[in-house]
Amino acid sequence: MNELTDLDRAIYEWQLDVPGFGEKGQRILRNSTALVSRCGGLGGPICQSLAAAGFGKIIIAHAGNLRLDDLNRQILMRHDDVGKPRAASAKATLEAFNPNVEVEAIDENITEANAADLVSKADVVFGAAPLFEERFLMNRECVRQGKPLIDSAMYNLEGRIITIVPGESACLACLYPEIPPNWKRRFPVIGAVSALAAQIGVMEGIKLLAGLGTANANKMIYFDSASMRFQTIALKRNPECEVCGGA
Amino acid sequence: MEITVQYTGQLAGLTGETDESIDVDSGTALPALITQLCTRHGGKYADLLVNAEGNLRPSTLVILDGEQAAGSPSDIVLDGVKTVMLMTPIAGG
Repeated sequence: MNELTDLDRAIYEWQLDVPGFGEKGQRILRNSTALVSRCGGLGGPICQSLAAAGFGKIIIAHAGNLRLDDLNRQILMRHDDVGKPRAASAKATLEAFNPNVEVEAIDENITEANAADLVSKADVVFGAAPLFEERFLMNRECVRQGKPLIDSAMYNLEGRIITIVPGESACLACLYPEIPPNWKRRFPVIGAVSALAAQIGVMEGIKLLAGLGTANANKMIYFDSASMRFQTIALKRNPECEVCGGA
Repeated sequence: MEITVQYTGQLAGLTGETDESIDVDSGTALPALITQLCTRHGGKYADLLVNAEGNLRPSTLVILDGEQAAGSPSDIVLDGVKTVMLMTPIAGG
């Protein structure tokens, strides 16, 4: 395990003061790799907070080029990036923000062909894709490889975060046993709502890795920012789940 | 008895409401409530919640007083339940 450098201690000085975190927690993050599926409205703030927290490496998987209508929420992008690959733009922003974090930009979404390999390189996985097909692939691979998955999602002014610890908690397929037929790729979104869901998800990941606080495995954190109502919902594993078998 | 039905996601968008109160008889099971709601709201609302056979879509999460309901919907009797939260799946980012 890599030890903290003097530069690490200087950058994360205020973070090291967090009770229960300290140098041990920082060292864990320093030696951890996070895979983030998509770096848009949700994944972008996730990546930024992972970089700020001092993760050793962030792998971003996101295909395609930036569009003008991405800019209300994709905070790692710049106006000048329109027409350029999103993943490369996110990598440039993150490296400028924290040069001590290694960022690998993959100009692909999560697919059947790359899911197993990408998940194998990560200590924790963050799901932020707008399609259930990608989320389900990551869920399957995380369960198979025993990797924690933080699956965050939003719609309109609402968000929900599910922390999945394989073997301990309900997986995504326990909750959604089929591709939801009515989910549409386009959804109403204000960037701050995505960012709110992102930050809760990042904290779940940090807590899981660093043993800080209480991770919300087997629970869903739901919020409605219209009223700022937050709710923690107890989830149940499905013993007939085709992915985790409830086992 | 009166139950508060809470809506999230696309359901909330369709109804324009985050919750509504509904009267059900003692002994009412979940499918009867869903049928009652679909009759009230019709069309797109019903299509979100139930499949062609009229059964609750398996990807709809039903939360009873803060805890996910599990098992066959027909086995879920609502006696004593105060809040039924219907969560259609979301994946926005």
